[in-house]
Amino acid sequence: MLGKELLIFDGAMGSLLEERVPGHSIPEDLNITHPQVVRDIHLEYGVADCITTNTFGLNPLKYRGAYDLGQVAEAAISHARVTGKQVFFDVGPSGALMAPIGTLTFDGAYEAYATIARLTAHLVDGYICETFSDLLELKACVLALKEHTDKPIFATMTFDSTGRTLCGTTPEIAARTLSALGVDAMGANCSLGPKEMKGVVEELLRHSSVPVILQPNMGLPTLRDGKTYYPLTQEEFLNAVTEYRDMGVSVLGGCCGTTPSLIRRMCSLRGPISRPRAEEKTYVCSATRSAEWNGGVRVCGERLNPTGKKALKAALLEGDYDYLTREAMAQEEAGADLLDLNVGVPGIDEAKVMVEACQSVQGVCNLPLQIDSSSPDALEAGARYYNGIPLLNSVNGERSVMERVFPIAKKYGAVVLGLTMDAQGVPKTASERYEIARRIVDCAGEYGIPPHRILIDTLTLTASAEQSQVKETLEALRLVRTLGVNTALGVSNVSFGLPARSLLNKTFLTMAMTCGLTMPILNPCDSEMMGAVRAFSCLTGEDKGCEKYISAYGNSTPVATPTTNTTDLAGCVLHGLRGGVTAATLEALKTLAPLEVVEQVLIPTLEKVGAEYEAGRLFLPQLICAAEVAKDAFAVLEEKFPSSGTSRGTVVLATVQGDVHDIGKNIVKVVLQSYGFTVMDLGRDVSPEQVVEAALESHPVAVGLSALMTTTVPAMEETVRRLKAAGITAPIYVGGAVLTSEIASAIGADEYVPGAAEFARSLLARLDV
Amino acid sequence: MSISVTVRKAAAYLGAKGEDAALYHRIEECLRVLEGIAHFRYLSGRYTRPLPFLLGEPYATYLKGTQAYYLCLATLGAEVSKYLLGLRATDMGAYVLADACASAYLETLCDQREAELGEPLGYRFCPGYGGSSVLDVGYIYEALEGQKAGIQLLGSGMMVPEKSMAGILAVGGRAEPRCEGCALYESCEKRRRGEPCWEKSC
Repeated sequence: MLGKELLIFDGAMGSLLEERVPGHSIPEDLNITHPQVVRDIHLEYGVADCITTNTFGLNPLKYRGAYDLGQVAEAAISHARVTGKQVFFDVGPSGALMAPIGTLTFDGAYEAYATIARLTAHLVDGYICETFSDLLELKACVLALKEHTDKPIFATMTFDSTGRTLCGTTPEIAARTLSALGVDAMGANCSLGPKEMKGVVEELLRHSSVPVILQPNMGLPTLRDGKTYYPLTQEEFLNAVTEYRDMGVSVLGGCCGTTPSLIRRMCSLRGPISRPRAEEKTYVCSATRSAEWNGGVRVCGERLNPTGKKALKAALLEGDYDYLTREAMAQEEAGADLLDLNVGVPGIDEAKVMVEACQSVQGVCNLPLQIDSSSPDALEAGARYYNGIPLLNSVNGERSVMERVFPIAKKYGAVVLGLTMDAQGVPKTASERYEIARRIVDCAGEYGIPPHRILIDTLTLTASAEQSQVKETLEALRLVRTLGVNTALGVSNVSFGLPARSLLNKTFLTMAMTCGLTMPILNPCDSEMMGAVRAFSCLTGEDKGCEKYISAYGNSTPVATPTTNTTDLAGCVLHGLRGGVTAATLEALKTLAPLEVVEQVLIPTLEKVGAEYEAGRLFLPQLICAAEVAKDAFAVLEEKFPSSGTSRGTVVLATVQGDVHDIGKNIVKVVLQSYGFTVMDLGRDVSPEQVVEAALESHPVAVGLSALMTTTVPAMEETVRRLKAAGITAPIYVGGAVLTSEIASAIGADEYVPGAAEFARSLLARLDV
Repeated sequence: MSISVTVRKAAAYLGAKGEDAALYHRIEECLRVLEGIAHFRYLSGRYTRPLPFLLGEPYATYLKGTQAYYLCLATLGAEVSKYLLGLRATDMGAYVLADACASAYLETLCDQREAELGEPLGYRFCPGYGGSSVLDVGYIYEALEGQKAGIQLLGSGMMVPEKSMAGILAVGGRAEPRCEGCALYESCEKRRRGEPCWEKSC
């Protein structure tokens, strides 16, 4: 019946409970303390097809009531059962924000919802997960329910007047992601009244391949003296939802402010439902951005693949995810449509690092990701923790590989990249590669993965070693397009071992796009390659009116860059000129030893910058820029002379537990690095145990703790106590807006420093430099 | 060229002294970016009887003589936090600038919403001012159901996304802001310079 006939859900519970038991604080506890009140409300909604339990806030992370979770859940379900209708367990969000913005981890969210599932799976007819703003939290909820029950799952998000959720997810992204995850119905509830929801409804119906559910508020509320008022009339509500039913919404109910009498009137809307099929297309997304193929070319950035990249390999081995995020953001700014993420470096736990890398990159970069690994475990780990619809790279023509990877793609709703090779290697002819592609598409179909969720890579071989293969790769592109799939190639492989690589790469790219390449994997920071893509899009008409091309190249005068005759290192630091620092450092090394560069140029210049700042002639961003330039100079010195002794030792930094502000700590980090210290930055909200562990491991020359608020000073005191108890003798510096030297002394710290420069100077003095 | 209040406020947060056209230009560019990504949410409720946490000082003095007040809660949203996180990893100087701009922008948007309430309002009193406990943010968060604005309240009294604000607005309030009683009184550079944070920038 779902999707064929209109289903009616019930309406608001909270507002009715507030009327009948005024002043209560935990609605879920009323299942225990006022069972008849709850039952009466359910019975009043008994005309609906499905009744939702009074459990919206019953989440282990949120519930602060007086009873055991299981006890409340069972009571709530038994009250809903009195209606004799289908009972759906109401699952609300935790109220916590997902990391890195907030403190809730994916595993923490998953476990909370798994607890709910374990308590209720045998008692309910289905689950309705509603009012979610964060797509990742909702994914954790859906997975937890799917992995613990086989009951239907309806999932709705809440969109506001901007047409997005509070975390920036659009109805399109929500619809496609939740459909791909295999929920039974998806839609929208709360925040808006029915009239305001129209744009959202249109998008949901256009993009959801599962039935759509809608539960609007009774209009937009106002709050007076702690009471909420809803101004909309029942006629206005019914007119709007009738239109939505006619458009194809399959399930209708009501959210805040709706009443049993409204739901009774909605029952007259019951009847057959018809809606157009959602558009099928190759589509990947993050929570906030999508990349879709509708006849054009989409660029996949290749710079997060450690093959041939020494610095990225080192970053992965050291767990320096800031390096990855910098590379990700540079590619995003350069115009990539999605990014390849590969963490395959010998010596690391690839599945674990894939998750960490994925979370770090997604924490700051909006682009969708291609999870790239030869390890199915790493693919699965990445796909599980990924926020959105990922692209999984890869499968090939080997049955065993497809049987391992396709179930992962099916479970997590991923798009899959297939390589036209198998156990025998890369075939020599285009037709053989086409046959492998056909095998991949056919096998994917056995797992319910249609051609529009597959891209095929016909494999680029190097022209220097296998010149005749170049045209086979191109011909294979043409052939596999007939399978209804999109295509991919790692373009720059073609020129390996030949001179003027960029010329070959650009030419091959254009040839390949003409043959049907739709996802070149390349370096988006290479302006020539991106230029070729833009020119192709312009000439083929994908870039309508050549708008993007004109926007990129229309102002042909080069952008004026700040001119300076300063090439010396001191000048670069003083003026924050990052562009010239490498050359300036190398120039300085012609006449000075590395340590002399540090002590005769960098440190004195930083002192001068600090003095200018204190005198009010420079402001904070300039101070930071100068410190960053000095830091870059240090990196050059370290790279050129690894044992030059330029590092002054390690400093462990942390913002203490309970505190998530870290701007001060980050400024200290940059300044200390600019003075030549190695900084182990533990981040924010760091427990005392983590600080102690880091200090014991790194033998620092100092530990720096930051706290912004008086409420987190106790955590700082505890951290100081534990450091001393662990025998850490390095001086403990403390800083932050609320601290003073008196407080520092009272909590046992060795020194209070009001700012980054003072920290560095004091530490240098202690080390007697 | 007229420089907006928001630009001047951000410049003040950055410690800038005097007119600085280059800085103002950078701030304006940053504010344009923030305008494009911010998901500003503002919750408010009007009350005529003081909630229990407002019966003591310093709130009693702040609300003295008023017949009504608003509680308010606002945020620039998660995408601004994400943007700041990205800058933190890539460009610390830009991050410091953007952090100041975001604080100034949040205040300006709140000022605008408060003007739309259509009543004469006293200055916005935020928990933590005048010796009040920052944990009192929790009362405002609970009263206005802060999670509906996508705000999480941490145990420390801080809110995430980081550019979020909770406050009280006295209707017809005549209380004047002052430095005494502030948690930052001892360490405050602005107070020492004679430029308290509660003074308007222009």
